[in-house]
Amino acid sequence: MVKLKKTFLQRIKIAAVVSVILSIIPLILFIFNLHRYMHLFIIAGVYACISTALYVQGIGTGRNNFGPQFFVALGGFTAGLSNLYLYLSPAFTLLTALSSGLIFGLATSLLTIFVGGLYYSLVTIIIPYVFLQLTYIYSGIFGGEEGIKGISPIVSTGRVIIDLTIYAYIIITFLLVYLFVMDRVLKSKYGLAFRAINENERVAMELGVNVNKYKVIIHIVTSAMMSLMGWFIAHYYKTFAGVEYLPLYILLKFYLTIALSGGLYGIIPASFLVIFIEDFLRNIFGQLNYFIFPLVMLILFLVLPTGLLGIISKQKVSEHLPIRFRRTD
Amino acid sequence: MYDVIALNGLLLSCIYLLISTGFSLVYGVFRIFYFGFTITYTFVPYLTWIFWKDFNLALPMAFAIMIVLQILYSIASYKWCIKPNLADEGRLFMATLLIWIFFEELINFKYPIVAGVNFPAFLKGEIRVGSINLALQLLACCIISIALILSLAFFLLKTKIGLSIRAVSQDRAAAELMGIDVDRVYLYAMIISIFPPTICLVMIAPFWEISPYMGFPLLLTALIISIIGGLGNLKGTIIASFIIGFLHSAVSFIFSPRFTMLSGLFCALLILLLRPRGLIAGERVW
Amino acid sequence: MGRAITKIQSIILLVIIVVVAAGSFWYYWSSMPAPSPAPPIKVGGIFHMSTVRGITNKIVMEMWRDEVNKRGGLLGRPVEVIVEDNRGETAANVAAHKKLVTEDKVVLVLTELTSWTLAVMDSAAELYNEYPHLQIATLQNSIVTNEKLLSDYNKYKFFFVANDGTLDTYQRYCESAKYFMTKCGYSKMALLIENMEWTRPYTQGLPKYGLKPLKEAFEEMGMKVVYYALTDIQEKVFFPLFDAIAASGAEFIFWVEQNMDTLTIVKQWATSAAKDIDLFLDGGAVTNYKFWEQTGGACLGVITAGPDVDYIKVTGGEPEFIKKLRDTGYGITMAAYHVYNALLAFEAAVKKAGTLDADKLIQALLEIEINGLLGKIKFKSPPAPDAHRVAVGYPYYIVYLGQWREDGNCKAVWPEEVATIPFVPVKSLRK
Repeated sequence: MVKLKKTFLQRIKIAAVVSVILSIIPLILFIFNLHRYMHLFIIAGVYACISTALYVQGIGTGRNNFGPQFFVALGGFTAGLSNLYLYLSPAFTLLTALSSGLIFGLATSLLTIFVGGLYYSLVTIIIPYVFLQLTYIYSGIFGGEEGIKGISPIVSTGRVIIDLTIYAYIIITFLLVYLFVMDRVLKSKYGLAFRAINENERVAMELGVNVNKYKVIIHIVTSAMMSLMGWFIAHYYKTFAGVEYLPLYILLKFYLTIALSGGLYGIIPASFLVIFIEDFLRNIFGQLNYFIFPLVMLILFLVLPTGLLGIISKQKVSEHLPIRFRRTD
Repeated sequence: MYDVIALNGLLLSCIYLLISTGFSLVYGVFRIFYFGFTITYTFVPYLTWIFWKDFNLALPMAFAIMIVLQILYSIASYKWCIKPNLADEGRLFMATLLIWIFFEELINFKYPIVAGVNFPAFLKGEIRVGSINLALQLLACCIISIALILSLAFFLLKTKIGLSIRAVSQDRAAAELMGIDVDRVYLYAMIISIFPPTICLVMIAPFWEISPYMGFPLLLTALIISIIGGLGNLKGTIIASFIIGFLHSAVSFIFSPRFTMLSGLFCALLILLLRPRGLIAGERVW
Repeated sequence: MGRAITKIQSIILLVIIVVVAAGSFWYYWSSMPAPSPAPPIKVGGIFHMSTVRGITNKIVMEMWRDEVNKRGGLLGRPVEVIVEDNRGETAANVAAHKKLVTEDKVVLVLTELTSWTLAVMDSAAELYNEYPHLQIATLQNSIVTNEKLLSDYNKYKFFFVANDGTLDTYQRYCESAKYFMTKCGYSKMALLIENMEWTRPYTQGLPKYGLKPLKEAFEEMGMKVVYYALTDIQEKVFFPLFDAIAASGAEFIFWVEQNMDTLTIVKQWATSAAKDIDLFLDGGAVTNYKFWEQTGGACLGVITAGPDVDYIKVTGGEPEFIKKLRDTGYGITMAAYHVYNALLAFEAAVKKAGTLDADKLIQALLEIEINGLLGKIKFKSPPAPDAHRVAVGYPYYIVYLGQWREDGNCKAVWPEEVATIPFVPVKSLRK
């Protein structure tokens, strides 16, 4: 009983610490009027949200999705087009982006059932490229290489630093909700099912786990989570171009974040590390940063096989197991 | 019109065949999606250029050194990147992606497009075949492509190393039990895989893009062909190369050039959804 | 159970952290300006620094800075140039803009291309009240930016463009096509247009401005379009396309593009059935002075817009400018002219206004008419549909066409006011 309470308290502590740290940072940036760092903070938050969804999707479906940017672009274009042509405000375009994520998530979730292993990964690589081609062919709708322009912002107070601070808190809210909800999911019976699916799908099925149901649900939910980030990006930049978010290169940052995280909560420091190191290297090395950045990332990637979270915890935290099954000795 | 489509289709098929064979072989043996193969294409012109222009060696010598370096790179890739991460697809994907981007940007830094990297054609002149003009070097490329594939087929079917490669691709554990040194077979596969694209790029360099970012479009083509043919299956790759070659030729000529890439992507997507194992199922090299 | 971080890994990590920390400290230290009696006037540029265009733009900005400082600076103050890399991403463009304006306190920001310019325009509009500054776009063709400006003039009045726009380009296409066709007595052309958003005015027309699709416009001018296609910018295989064009009987290939792989196009054209059909390519690698080497001479006879010619003289400053950039090894891009003209215009506006007050600079920019490169610089005023864009057409800024010739150089062949050599059809050149 004591051990259960301790674990619960530990969880609350982690959540509280993360929330407090994340909430304080924009306040500090606001006080010191640091626009650029606020902007980088926001971008890091966006990447953290997408990486969280991708991380959980990988666990839940037992597959590597090499095309999460498809859902980001889907959400972005849906939000932008419904804002421009249906005159919906950002509050309502959030719903349209969410809906598109859910619908296409449902459609593509069938792939997790019928297409396995590497074939699934290959399909997910190709889908964004097909979408990219369509954005050029139907440039009247998608804006081609220029993208759609004139999307309304979520907030506009007249003072940039205030706007940026509000955007920062919006993305923090998304991030905390994503993390806490996914954390609870992973520690529940669903998490147990996901772990079973990951280890051996066939055995899990034979043990009575409704593998398809779990895969479909998690795929739909995480796809919608990624679409919401597309919504945010579209309204933050007030423009959205497929050529920015559909090519393969963008995948690098998501997977780097996951690789360096070492666990769900590790995604936060990992995404900030990736974004800020990239910016830092650009300022220091100028043109050289194009090959120094991948080199630095490769070194970090090799040096930290257990991720950033692995530095502070000597053992890999079994986040997939519900509490009652966790070893307490 | 049909002669134009047919002849261009044949030309493209032969080029695509060489571009995709190496990639397919790597998958067939390792069962991994090796992104690092992208840089193999880029190394061909740029490594050659370094020794030809910067070190002032004769062009044949520069080619020879380039091939040696490619072999060393393959060995190093296998030992330090692929072998330690064979079990973890995500990690392998990350590592190879980072290595690819690193080399690509390094090459762009040292030899941007204005460096003027280019190669002369060995065979000058064109011949008229039907209503198309075909450069002699491209015709030679077609002949070499077919000869190379026949040689590779003979190698895989009749030689001891080829048989070992096929055995490992069919069942690694069983091959090991039969006394095959799997590690060595992997190395052979990595080394052999670089020859088809290297030869192809040497032949088509006077007619193709040479830029630091030339690798990925070629890898995408190789990927599409491998998917359609059946991942890792060389017979499938041969058939798929011809399908895609003729498809690109027909779409470009009959419809519009802007649908060429899309047509290939759609084919690959259809195959993945309807028949994921490709045209020639059976996960083995041959 | 995962394995814990080993000692060696800890050491490596510590080294990385120390390097990063030392680097940040050094960066911060070195970015602190030396005390000077007069604080410098700062001008910023946001370019994609892994491209030749970006590198050349930076060189041009530094060249201009050195020239201005040699002349005594602006308003008695030295000029400083800060160039940021946008890595080809909108996010980095916006971050760089915020840094330049809020931290570096630049008075002018140069941007490139349409999508990045638009993103920065919005960022600049938000920051304008607190940090007034100007934005001049380079290599930005689409009229959407001017439409955005006119949609809320007060909000975007700080925005200018240093190059030709959709309306000017449309006119150039018509005039130049007519010139080449009539010069050689051609009547049949193949019209190819790359499939992108910026070419939509040419594929679908701009009814708002009375512009028809280019195909229709050419046919109305008496040119028969015997082959018409939209091309994919990722395409690498052009053999079937050239065979189709040859089969159509076209005498001239007019290719509206900026992003096609012109290196591969020219290499394949030169050995195809269409090799004796004159080829016009609008932009890309074909404009670089090393293109002859890159193609092994396959570009003989190719015509292109705004190439790095060995000589051109419009206002007089061009030959020296060309030489300076060629000495760097990178050569000229059209963007280099735009950047230099933007900076010359800014310099003239500062001198005219006598102040760095943004509103007065905007007024001054609309009033100046100075000698720039490739013509006089004058910005159009509202209510022109492309207001705040440079005036185009001799004696103002011109976009010339060049042809690759036997000596391995590109020579200006159009318009006739600046041509250094007459245009010769490729068939004659090959003989």
